Amino acid sequence: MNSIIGIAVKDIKTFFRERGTIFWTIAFPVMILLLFTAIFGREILSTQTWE
Amino acid sequence: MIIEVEDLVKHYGEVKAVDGVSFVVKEGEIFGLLGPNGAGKTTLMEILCCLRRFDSGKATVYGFDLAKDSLKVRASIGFCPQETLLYDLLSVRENFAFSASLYSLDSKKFNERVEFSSKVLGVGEFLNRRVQQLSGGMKRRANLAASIIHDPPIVILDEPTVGFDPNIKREFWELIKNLKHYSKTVLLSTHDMYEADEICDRVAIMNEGKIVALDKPYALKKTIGGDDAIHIRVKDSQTKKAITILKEYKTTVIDSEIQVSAKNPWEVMAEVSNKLVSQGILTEKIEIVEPTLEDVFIKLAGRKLAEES
Repeated sequence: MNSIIGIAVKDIKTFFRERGTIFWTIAFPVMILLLFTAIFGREILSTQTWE
Repeated sequence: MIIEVEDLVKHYGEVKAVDGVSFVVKEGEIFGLLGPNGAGKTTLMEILCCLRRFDSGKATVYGFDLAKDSLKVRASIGFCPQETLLYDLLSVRENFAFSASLYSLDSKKFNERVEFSSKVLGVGEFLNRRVQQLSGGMKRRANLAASIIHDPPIVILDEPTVGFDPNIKREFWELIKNLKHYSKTVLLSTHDMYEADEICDRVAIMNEGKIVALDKPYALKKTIGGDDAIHIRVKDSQTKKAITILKEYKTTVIDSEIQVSAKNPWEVMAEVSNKLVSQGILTEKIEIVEPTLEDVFIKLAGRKLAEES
């Protein structure tokens, strides 16, 4: 059990200390989400209204 | 005997990496495996650490059979490989905590071991620094400390000082010698004859997967290395005359130095010196050079240790 916790702690610490990893796994998906929402958000709304 | 190896064989396809190796390591000694790259040292160590399977033979580590009790064998050894196995983004203490968790060490024991590493291996000064910020020597010290965090009775070091500058190398040798004072048995591999000579109680010389000689470094040098040599340097213009004067001795000339081999070098040095002076030849240098483990290897294998390293 100790080993599993030890590995988890090590992985979490190394994950949050690697800036590149944080960017690609958290910041980048959020940016993409916001971008596509800004581009296509209205279209979906208007489509829904049209139907 | 803390490590017993009997007729161990390991093949990589057609190549016999370990070829019928047998030896024992006594408790509390520093035992060296000396040989050029490709001699089978690392394979042998990896077998003893249960990282590789062997084809035939028998081996026990701390009384546990390698084939049957591999978990107990692993718990009783600390293996420090050539490359540093620490996480760059973690501090030294966090790396230790990770290694300790793999061996289920409780916090009291962990703190004791960190204290030990700080005192004996000198890691206290950089315990809270990230590994990526450490120098090469610090990393190696931390690596060694992490590999023995669970307080194993046996420490296995694979070429521990390869790539070190001479000062750090010497510092590391002291650390390894220190481990002996804490009742650790050390098995190390090296292709550095000075390292083997300096720190090992006994040395097994390996060549092409076999142990070709095994004894204390001093005994190996005396029995196999040959006689001591007196190295003499005179002015280039006088070298020929000096050789003529010394014709009754067994002389060779290497790099414009006359080398006289002798069983009783101190007496012969006095004689040679007197003879040269009486004939008007002044020596620029005269010294006694003992045979090295390199000479032993050359006599046994017919080539130099360094050729393949």
